Amino acid sequence: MSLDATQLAASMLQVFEAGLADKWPDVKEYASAEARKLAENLLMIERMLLTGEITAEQARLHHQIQRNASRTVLLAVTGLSRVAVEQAINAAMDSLRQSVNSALNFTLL
Amino acid sequence: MLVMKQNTMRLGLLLIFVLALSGCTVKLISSYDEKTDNAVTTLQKDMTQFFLTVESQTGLPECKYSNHIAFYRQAKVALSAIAVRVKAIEANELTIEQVELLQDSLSSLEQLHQLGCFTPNQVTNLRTNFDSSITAILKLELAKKRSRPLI
Repeated sequence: MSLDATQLAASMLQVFEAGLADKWPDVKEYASAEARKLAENLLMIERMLLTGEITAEQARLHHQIQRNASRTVLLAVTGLSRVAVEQAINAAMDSLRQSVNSALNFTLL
Repeated sequence: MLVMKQNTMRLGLLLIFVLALSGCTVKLISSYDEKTDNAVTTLQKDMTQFFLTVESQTGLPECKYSNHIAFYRQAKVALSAIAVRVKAIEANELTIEQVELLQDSLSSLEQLHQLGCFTPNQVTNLRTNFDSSITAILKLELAKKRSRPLI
């Protein structure tokens, strides 16, 4: 077996895409569920303010907590994506390592 | 002379490539920290306990802020310890920001309580938001284990 850069790149890309495609739906599902929950909460704050259950000052503090929660979820999604990308890169590197080693018939990498 | 230079360059590039491949794996985010996981899980229990308590005290004099000062002090201490811990870990900026946001939310919660007792709607709203924040921190921490599925 000889080393073929195009073939190696294609095989790496395949592993990379599979890794990301495998994980993204789960991350997306989590993000969608949280976005729905946070949107409902935002409407609830407006309702409480309109009905006089809370004052404008209380609404401001509720909004602050709401904004923080939304930002925290966004940071989690960023982190989950980063882990997914990292796993995909490492899987692609492993695939490349295996291809190089089997092409040379000894463990170089 | 030129050919020799080119060959040396090629050899150098090949060496860098081999070293990069045989070296460590790529790491874009910090490692999992069990102590952070445990501390945030404990905080989650305390927050839930607090919301259940204030919900059961609706309309009673016990609902007042002055009766819950100990909870706020304890929660602030716990969060401060978590903040110190996560800041000591390398490549942990996402978790650091998450914890800072939670500290800010706790401060807003305390200010809200000082303005008056919570209504059941307020408790529902606050509990959902705090659950979302804490779950997000835990979700990211657990994802750092790498060997397990992300979600």
